[in-house]
Amino acid sequence: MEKIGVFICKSCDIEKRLNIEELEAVAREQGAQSVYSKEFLCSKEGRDFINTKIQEDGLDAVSICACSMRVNYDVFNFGKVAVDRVSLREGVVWSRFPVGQNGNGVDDSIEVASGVTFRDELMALAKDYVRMSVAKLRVYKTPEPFKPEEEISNTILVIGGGVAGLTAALECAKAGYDVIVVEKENELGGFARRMKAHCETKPPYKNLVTPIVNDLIKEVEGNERIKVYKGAVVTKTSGGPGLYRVTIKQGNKEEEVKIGAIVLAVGFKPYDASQLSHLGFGVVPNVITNVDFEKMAVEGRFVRPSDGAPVNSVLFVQCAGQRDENHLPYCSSYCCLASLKQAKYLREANPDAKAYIVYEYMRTMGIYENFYKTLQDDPGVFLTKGDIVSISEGSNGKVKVVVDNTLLGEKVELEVDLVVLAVGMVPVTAEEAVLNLEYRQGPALPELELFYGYADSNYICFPYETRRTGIYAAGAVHQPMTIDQAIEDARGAALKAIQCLKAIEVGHAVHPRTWDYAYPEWDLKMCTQCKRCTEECPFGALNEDEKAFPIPFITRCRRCGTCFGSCPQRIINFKDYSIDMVGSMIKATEMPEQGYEQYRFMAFVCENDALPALDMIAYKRMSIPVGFRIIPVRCLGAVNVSFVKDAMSKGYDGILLLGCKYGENYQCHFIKGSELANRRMENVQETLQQLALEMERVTIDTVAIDELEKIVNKMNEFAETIKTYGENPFKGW
Amino acid sequence: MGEQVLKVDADLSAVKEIQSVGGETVKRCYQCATCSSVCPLSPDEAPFPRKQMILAQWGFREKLLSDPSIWLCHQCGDCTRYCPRNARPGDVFASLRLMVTKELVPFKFLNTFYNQPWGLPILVLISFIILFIFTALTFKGVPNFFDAKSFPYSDIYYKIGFLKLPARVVMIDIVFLSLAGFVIVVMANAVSKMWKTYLDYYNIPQAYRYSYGKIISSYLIPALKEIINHSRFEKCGSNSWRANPHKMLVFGFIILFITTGTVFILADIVGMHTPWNPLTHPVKWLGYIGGILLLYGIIGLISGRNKAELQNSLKTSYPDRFLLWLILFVGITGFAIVIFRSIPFLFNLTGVIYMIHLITVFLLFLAIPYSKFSHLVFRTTAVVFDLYYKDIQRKLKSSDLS
Repeated sequence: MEKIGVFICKSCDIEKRLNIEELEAVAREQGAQSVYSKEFLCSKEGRDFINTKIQEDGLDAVSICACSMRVNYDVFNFGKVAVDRVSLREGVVWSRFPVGQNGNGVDDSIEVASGVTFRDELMALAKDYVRMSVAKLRVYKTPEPFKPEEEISNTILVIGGGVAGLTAALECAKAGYDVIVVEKENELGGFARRMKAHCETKPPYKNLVTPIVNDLIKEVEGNERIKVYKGAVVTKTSGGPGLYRVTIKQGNKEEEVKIGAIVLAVGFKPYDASQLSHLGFGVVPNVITNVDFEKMAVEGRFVRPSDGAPVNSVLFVQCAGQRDENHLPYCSSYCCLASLKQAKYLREANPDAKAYIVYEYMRTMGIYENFYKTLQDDPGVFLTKGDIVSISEGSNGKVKVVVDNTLLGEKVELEVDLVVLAVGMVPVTAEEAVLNLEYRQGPALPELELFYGYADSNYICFPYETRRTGIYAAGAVHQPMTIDQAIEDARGAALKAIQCLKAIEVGHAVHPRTWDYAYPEWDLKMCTQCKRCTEECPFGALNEDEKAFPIPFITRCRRCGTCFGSCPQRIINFKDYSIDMVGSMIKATEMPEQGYEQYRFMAFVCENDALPALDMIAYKRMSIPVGFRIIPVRCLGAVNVSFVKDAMSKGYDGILLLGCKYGENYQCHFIKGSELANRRMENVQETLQQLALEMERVTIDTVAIDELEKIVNKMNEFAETIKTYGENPFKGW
Repeated sequence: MGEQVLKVDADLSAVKEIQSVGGETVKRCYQCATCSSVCPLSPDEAPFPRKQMILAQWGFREKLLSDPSIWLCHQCGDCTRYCPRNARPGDVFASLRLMVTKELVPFKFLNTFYNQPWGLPILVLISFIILFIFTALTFKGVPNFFDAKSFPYSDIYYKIGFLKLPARVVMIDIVFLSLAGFVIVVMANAVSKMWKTYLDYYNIPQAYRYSYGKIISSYLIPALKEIINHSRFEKCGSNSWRANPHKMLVFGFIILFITTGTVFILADIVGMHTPWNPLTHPVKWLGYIGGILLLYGIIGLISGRNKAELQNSLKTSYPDRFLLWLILFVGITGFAIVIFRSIPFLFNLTGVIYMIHLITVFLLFLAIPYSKFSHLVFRTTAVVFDLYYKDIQRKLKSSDLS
C-alpha cells in the first residue's frame, strides 16, 4: 500500500498515559502519508472524520491506533481501504502498569532503570506498535475472493439414509438445494426402521412412539429435489468443496456426480457381542443383545431362544462393553434408554413379568430423564447399580447372574429367563473409509485418536465439522446419540453444508475464518518438494503431483497458515499475511543498544484464545511486563521459524509463543497448529543450543482463554528467567 | 458379609402391596441418600431410610421384617420434605410398618379390613354383631336400645361368688377381657417372632441372647421411659410438632387405662357399683382428665397433619386417617355418654351412644394387632432391641479390647 493514514485515538486513557505528538511523529518517520489524532474515533464523528480524510488524502490503507482488533471491527470498516488496528488501549495503556517495591501500583514517572522512567518504556512500546502497523500496511496486499475456474456445484450429497441422513436431506431440499441420498441398504430408514418403537422426540419425552423414520422415508421419497440411490456406495470422492466429483456405485453401475458439500450420516453398528463372552454371550444360552431383543419385540413374541419357553423375567446388563478400555471406552448414550424402552415392551406384554436393569451409571440424555422416571415408577422394573460378577447357566434353562456392589448392599444372585446385553455403538467410520477421498492424506477422515473413530473434529467450538472442509457429520457417526439428538444434529449439519456452499460462492474461507478472502499462494519455482505443507495441513487441503509438488485445493483450505508456518523455503504467502510482512514488522521496531537495562521480548500470540485472554487481562487492568511486543497470529501453526530468527537477530532477548492446548482435550481451532509449532520450536531450541544460547529464550506455552492469571504469571516468569541469562548477545548486530 | 451371596427374586406382589397402603411413591427413589443424611434419628452404624427404600422397591418382605429401622423411624418427615424425587420415604416407611404388621400377625384378612376403606363397614358390622350377641345373652333377650333403663342400665344382675355384677358389666367383661386376651396372645407371639428375626439378622452371639425376663428388666424400663418422654420423637425436624400432641395422647391413654382399671376393681370386685356421681366422684374426674388429654392430643394430631401436608413433610393415607378418627370417636362418644346420661330428654338415647362407644373401643382394641396402632407394641419392641443391641455392642467391643 502506498498511501497510508495513521489515526490515533485520544480517548480511553490513551492521551492520559501516552504522548500523542510523539506517536504522530513516529508514524510520519515510518512513512505514513497522513497522521491525525482525535478523541473517540469510534464515535460517529470519529468515523466520519476518518472517512473524510480517506477521501481528501486519497488513502488506500489506514492504521487505527485505538482499541483491540477484537472490538469495533464493524465501526472501523472502510470498504476497500485496508485497515490495520493498533491496540494502544488493550495492548498498552490498560495492560502495562508500573509496580512499586511493595507490589502496589505507582506513577508512570517512576524510574525503572538509571535515567529511564516507566513512561519512557511505555512510550517505546506504543511507538513500536505504531511503527509495526505502518510497516505492515506497506507490504499489505488486498485479498481477492477465490473464484475457481470450474463451475461450482450446489448439490448436497447425503451419505446414509437413516434418521439423520433423511432429516438432513429434507432440510437441504426445503432450503432449496438439490440433494442426492446414497443408502447402502436396499431400503431407506437405517437402524430405526428395524425398531418396534422409540422414545418420543418431543415433550413430555415420556412415551414411546412408532419409529418416526417411516414418515421421513415417505417425505424424502415424495420430494422432487431429492434423488435417492438405494443399495449404493460411494467409491471415490475427489476435488474439494463446491467442486467435488463423487463416484456412486449402484449394483454394477458406476456414476460420477458433481457435488458441492457432503453430509456424512452413515450411522453406527452395534458392538460385536462375540467379544463379550465374559458376559455369557455365545456361551450361556438365553444371553442375547439389545438388538436381538428389539427383533423379538417387533415379532411380538418374548420367548427364550433355548427352548421357546415364555419369558417372565429379563435382566438387562448396561455398559456391556461400553466405558471399558478393552471394548468401547466411551458411553454410547442410547443404551440406557433402549433398555428402559425394552423393559417397557416386556412389562406391557406381560404385566407379571419382571425386568431387572443393572447399570453402572444410569444415563438418559437430556429430558429423557422423564422417560427414566416413568419406567422407574413401574412396580415391575427393578433397578440397581452394580458390577456383573458372572453370568452362567442356572436351573431350568434360566440364566444365573451374580452382581456385586449393588445398592442392596450385598452381592446378589438372580435367576432370570433372559439376559439382554445393552451393547454400544461403533461408528461406521471406525471400520470403513466410506468417503474414499482422493486426498493425499488418505481416503478416510483422519483419526485424531480422541474420538474412537467417530467423525468428529473440534467438539468444543465447531460441532458438525469434520477435519475435511465441506464434509459434515450428523447422527451416530458423529457422536453416540439418540434419535432425538440425531434429528437436531442433522439439521445442524445441513445448515453447515449450506453455509459452506454460500462461502464458496462468495469466495471466502468456509470456517472458522468465515470473513477471510485471503488464501495461501505457492511460489512453486522455489519449492524443494519437501512435502511438509502437504503432510502437515490439518485439513488435507493439498494433494501432490507425481513429482511431489503441492497441488492446493483452496476450497478445502481453512486459512490457518500451517503450511505457511511449515515452509522452510518461505514460498507460501497470503496477500495479507506474509513472511515479508512479519519480517518488516519486526525490523520496524526500535531495539535499544547493548547494555540498556530494559529487556525486550517478542510474543507471537494466537488470535483465537490467547489474544482474547490478553484483552481480558486489559479489561481487568492486570499487568504484563512492558517489555513485551505482541504480534497476533492466526494460529501458532502459522508462525514460521523465520519469525523467530528475525526477532533473535533483531536483538530480542526472549521469544514467547502463546497458543491453544493440544493433545487430549485440545482446544486448538485448527486442531494441529500449536502441536506443530511446538515441534518446530524444539528444532529452533536445538539450533539455539548449538549457538551457545539458552534454549529457554524461545519458549512455547499453551493457555486456555480463561487462564488470565496463568498468562500474567507465565509472562512475568518468562521475563525474569530471561533476565537471569542476560541480554541477547546478538543485540545491535 | 464377605462371600455370602443373597439370592434374589424380586417380589412384585410385595411392591404392589406396599403401594396399596400408602407407599405408592416407593419406586421413585433413585438412591441418592439425601433421606439418610437429613434424618435426625438415623444412626451412623445402620443408617436409614435409603437402604430400606430399595429393599421395598424390590419387595424384600423378609429383609424388611428383620429390620428394626422400620420402627425406629418416627416419620419426622425430613426425608420426605427434602427428597428430590418426592419418593416420600417417611410415608413409604409407614406403609412398610403396615406390611410388617400384616406379616407378623395371623388372621391377615382383619389387617386388610383395617387398612382398606371398604373394610370399615365390615369391621363395624363384626364388632356390632359380637357386642349384640353378648348383649342379648347377658341381657336375657334383646334389650330396647332406646330405653336407657333397658340398656345399658337394666336391673338384671348376676351373682358370681361374692360378686354381684350388672348385665352390662358382665357383657363388657366377657367381650373385652377375651378381646384383650386375644390381642395379648397374638401380639406376644408376633413380638417373639420379631425378636427372633432381629437376633438372627444381627447375628447376636448365643451368650448374649438373654432371657425375656432379663430383657424386660434391663431394657424395657429404660425403653418405656424414653417412649413416655418422647425423647426420640422430639429430635424430629419437619414434623417436630407431633411430639407434644402425641405425648398428650399417650398420657390420655395411660390415665384412661388407670381409670378403667380402678373402675374394674372398685365396681366389679369391691362392689361399689356405677353409675357414680359425675360431678363429685374422683375416679370420674380422673376419667375426664384422661378424656380431655386424649381429645386434645388427637385433635392436635389431625390438625397438625393438615398443616404438615402443606409443607409436604407428611401424607395422611387411609390407615392413618382411620386410626386418628377412630380415637377421636372413642373420645367423643365417651364424653357423649356422660352428657346424654345427665340430660333428662337425651337420657333414653344413652343406650345408642353407649353401643357406639363400645363399638369404637372394640375396634380400637382390635386395631392393636391389625392397624397402624400396632406401633404401640412393635415400636416399643424395636426401641427395646435398639437399646439392647447398643448395649451388647458395647460389651462386645470391650471384650474385644480386653
